[in-house]
Amino acid sequence: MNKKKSFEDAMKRLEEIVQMLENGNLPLEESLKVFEEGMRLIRFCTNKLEEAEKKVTILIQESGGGYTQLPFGDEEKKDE
Amino acid sequence: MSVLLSEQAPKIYSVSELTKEIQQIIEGQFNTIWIEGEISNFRAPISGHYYMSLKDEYAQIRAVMFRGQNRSLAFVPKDGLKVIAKGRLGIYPPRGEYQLILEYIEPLGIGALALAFEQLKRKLAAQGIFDQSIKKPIPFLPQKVAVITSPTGAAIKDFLKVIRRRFANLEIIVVPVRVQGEGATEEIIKAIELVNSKLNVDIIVITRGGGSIEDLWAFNQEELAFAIRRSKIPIVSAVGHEIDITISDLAADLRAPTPSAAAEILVEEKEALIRRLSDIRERLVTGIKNIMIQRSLEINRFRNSIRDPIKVIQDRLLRIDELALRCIRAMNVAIDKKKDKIGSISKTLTMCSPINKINSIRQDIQFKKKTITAILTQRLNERSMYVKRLSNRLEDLGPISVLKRGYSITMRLPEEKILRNADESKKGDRIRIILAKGNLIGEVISQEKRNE
Repeated sequence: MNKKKSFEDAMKRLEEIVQMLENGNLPLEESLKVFEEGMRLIRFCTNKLEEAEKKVTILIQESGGGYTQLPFGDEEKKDE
Repeated sequence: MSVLLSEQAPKIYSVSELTKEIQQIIEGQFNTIWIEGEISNFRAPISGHYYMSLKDEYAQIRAVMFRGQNRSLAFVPKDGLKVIAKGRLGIYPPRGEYQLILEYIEPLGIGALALAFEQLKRKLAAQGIFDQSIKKPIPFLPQKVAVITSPTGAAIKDFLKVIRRRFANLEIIVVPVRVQGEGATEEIIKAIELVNSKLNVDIIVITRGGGSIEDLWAFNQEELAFAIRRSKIPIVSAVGHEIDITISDLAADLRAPTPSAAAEILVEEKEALIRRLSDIRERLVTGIKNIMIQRSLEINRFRNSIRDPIKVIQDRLLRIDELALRCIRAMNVAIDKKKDKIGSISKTLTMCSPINKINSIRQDIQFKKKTITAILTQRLNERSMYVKRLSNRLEDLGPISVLKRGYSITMRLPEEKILRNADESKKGDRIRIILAKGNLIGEVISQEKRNE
């Protein structure tokens, strides 16, 4: 899965960057560079996590034999 | 016609009599019996006695277990429990009822369905249907989920409640099926196939709330196990309560103990990742902050140790001036010292000047020169007189003196060969005759031979 690979690569790189920064023996310019890279990767990973659509539907069989998706969950809202 | 009027009057029982006779027969016959049945209508009033019915498919009998006996039971009986019990049959005359008076109850280890379940489980296990090695991995960060369940059941409610509480970004498609009763299994199988062919989801959840083994029976079917294994999409099964395990649970790629737990499995990884990300972010920010603080501390340290260069230069200039002054002073002192020394040396030198000596040497040389000249002159004179004497003697011995005495020398010309024999010339040769004073040039006219 491509999505998985790039996400996990990003996480791996992030761990590396954090370690480098925490060791603290990088030159200042270098540490600013990796810090920026880290923040970029965090944004990337967060976006990946938020990618999915948030909705609940129910699959209904139509008279013709086909299927359609209708919103589901109104019932729950009434219950709560 | 009244029976009382007939000749052979039949025995007429009073109710008590009859009851007593029944009591004797029944209580005698069923004094100690073992019975198997299912408990229903169980009650435990304050008296501490247990009241219940034991039933099977076609009949039921009331039963009581008095406090004295039921205290020794390790469990509390409940409706639906199949048991084996020991007791006796008793008649209660005031009500005309019979009931079992129980001494001992033991839950029946395994019902028919449970037995069937065990048998199917063993069979499928032998076929490798439950092997961990064939289970598909649960996808990383699922985004789209199909939930095969009853749309009105408790399971979907619990499932969605967890999803909503966790703010999980998930697209959920409920695929409605009946989850118990006739045809439920077939609907579930059809739903699995439908999702595989029509819906592009990352994962399938098959779920149902808790219930008796009969209620869950649709999930204990061989065909369902095969359908689950055929699915290309990974399947999570969450059927019944935590303690209920179904064939569906065993065949699925992952079993969740409850519908809520199934939802948690789907969102957990995501939440863990979000937590990890925010942790990493914090560490990043802290890391860069620490580096900045450290660097600015270092800069301050350097700043303190670096002095103002202008001040440094001024200091140096002052020092140079001072050194220059000291140099000049020292030089002057040194020069003065040398001057003094030169003065004293020159005095000493003047005192012992060599001019006197030179003068005396010069006079000496003059004197010696005169002496040498005199000696040399004398020697020269002596020599020249000696030479004159020698020369006179030489003249006496030489040809000139011979010529003076009248001799002459004849030479043949042009070669100037001195002639000693008349044969050395012939007639007509030119000759030179050298005399004491002057020469004669002549010609040979003839030769005269002398015999000596």
